Amino acid sequence: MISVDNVTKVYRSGSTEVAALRGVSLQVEDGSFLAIAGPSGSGKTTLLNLIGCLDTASSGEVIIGGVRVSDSNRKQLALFRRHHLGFIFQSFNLIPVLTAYENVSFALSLLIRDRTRVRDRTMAILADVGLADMADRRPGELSGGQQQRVAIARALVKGPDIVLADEPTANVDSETGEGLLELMRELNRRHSTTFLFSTHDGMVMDYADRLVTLQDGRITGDETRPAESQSAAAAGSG
Amino acid sequence: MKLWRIALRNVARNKRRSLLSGTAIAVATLSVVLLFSLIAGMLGDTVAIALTYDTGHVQVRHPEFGRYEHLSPVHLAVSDAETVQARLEALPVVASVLPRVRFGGAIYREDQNHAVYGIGVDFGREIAAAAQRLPHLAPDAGAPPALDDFARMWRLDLFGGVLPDPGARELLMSKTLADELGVTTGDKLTILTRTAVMSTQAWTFRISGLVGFPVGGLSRMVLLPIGVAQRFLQLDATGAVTDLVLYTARDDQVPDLVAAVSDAVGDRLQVRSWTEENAMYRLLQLATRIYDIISLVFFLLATTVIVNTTMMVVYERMREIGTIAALGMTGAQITRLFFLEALFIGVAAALVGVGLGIAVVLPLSQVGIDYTEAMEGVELNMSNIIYPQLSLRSTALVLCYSIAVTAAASFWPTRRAARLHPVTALRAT
Repeated sequence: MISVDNVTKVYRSGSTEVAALRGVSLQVEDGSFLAIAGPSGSGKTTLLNLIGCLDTASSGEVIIGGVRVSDSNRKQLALFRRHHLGFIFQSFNLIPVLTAYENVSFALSLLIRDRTRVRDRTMAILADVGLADMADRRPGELSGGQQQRVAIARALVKGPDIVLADEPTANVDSETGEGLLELMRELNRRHSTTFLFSTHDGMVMDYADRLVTLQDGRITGDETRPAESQSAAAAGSG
Repeated sequence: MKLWRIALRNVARNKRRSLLSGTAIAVATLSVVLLFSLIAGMLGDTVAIALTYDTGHVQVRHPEFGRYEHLSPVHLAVSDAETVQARLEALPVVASVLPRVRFGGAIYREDQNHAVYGIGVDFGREIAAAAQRLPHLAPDAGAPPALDDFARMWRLDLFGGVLPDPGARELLMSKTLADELGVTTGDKLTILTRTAVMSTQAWTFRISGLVGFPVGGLSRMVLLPIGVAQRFLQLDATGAVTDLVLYTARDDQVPDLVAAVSDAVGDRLQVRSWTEENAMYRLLQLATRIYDIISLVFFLLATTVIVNTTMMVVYERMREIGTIAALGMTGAQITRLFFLEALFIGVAAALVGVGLGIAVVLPLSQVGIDYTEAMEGVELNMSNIIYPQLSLRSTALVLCYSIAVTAAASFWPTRRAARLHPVTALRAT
């Protein structure tokens, strides 16, 4: 369970202050597949960063799984991210000197020291994303879609409670994007992992079981969608 | 995936840049190894000169001799030297005692006066004493004193001849002086000097052999049998010598030797260790301290390259830093990753620098560096050919020093990487 309570985030640059979030409150149930939509500058990435413990709120509280992360220091936040959160970035953000296998296993090895377990779980998740036979390739040898699959595997390999995906389909073509969404939806269902997306992409919104809309740092819409409408939407976009 | 593995891959990521940073460290390390080896060679040379030609480990003289040394004060000698010598030889810390007679004089030849410095020595004793210190150069046991043995022990170049007959007016002459005088082995010449009783004495000597001294300052030297020198300087009546040169078994026993000899001779004679009056040695020791500082500056200059590289790497990989922070790496782990990258370059470069240093110094320590032309006309207590000495201790020290300075210098930019806020880092393009 994620609880965002009356959160404000203000960025300061010299004497200028910009409020990216203005008193946002949001509750997210475990296992959700939630999209945060809105125009550029609406605050969706900022909200995702706060929930992802990458940034701290100017005021208000963020509580994840009962832990008040807004009170944590940098090291505590790093350890919380390590144990509970997975990230998928718009530009994939894979480490170029590591192979697909190493990119995924590196995230897991921060958590588990047992090499055999790391290898087995890494290979299993690579198989889940359909890249078991490309484990030895470096990011430069993979297509955009394949790289994002590696990034998804990296986010999921440690079995996180929440995966935060910032515009995950922005840098891939629509067909690949849909494949990725199918994959994430499947993994969401299979592992009950909570997925939070920030997106402009209508297709991502169609797949989401809940759509939160932000405008000028405020929530302007919060729509929970029945399962059948998602299936229809997904079928329609396919 | 171990951090060091990732660090190694990152080092190879931009090979040219890593190579450039490493080259700066390697060149600095190589230079310092060469510098220290050269200084060690010069120090070793100074020690060898002091021990062989000058004071030995300890020198016993008349207390006033040093003050008037430039006037060749042979009247300020150690009387009844044999008794003093016997007393000193009985001391357990004493390995050998060599009597010597130093004097100055002039050779008049073809309307010109030529300055000459002489030492009367006991050639047999000199060879035996040197053999104790340098057993690897020792002649066969029981062999009669020969010029080539003496030359080897005294680090002299040999230009033919034999040792002077102990009872005859014969001498060994510096080749440089012989060339200046236009004489050679077998020729005779007359040396004019002032004796211990302040009279003037002129004797004609036959040149029994020509030798080359390694030190420019000894280029006007003649060596003659001590008994002949004593008679020439009229020291024979009192059995006096100007110096008693003492050796102990090990260099670190010199303070004990000074104490024991001072006790034995009292205030009547001056006892000085080889380091006390050796200006060149003290100068080189001072130089060593100065070179320590210079080498630190060398390393600091070289490390600016690695600091610059690490900073560039941090700026270039901001987003990557943000990503690994998002994955849950703590600041300390991020610091370690970037620190390892700098350290790998530093260690590899320091090893290459030391390796190259050894490769250069080893052959030079055999063939030497010839300063003959540069030293021409300079009367310095240093050999014309310096043999750099590779010291395991100083080389290991340079290696550690190089790595430590590199590590310390790269710590600051790597800390910067760890302090980056994940969001700021992820936002970087």
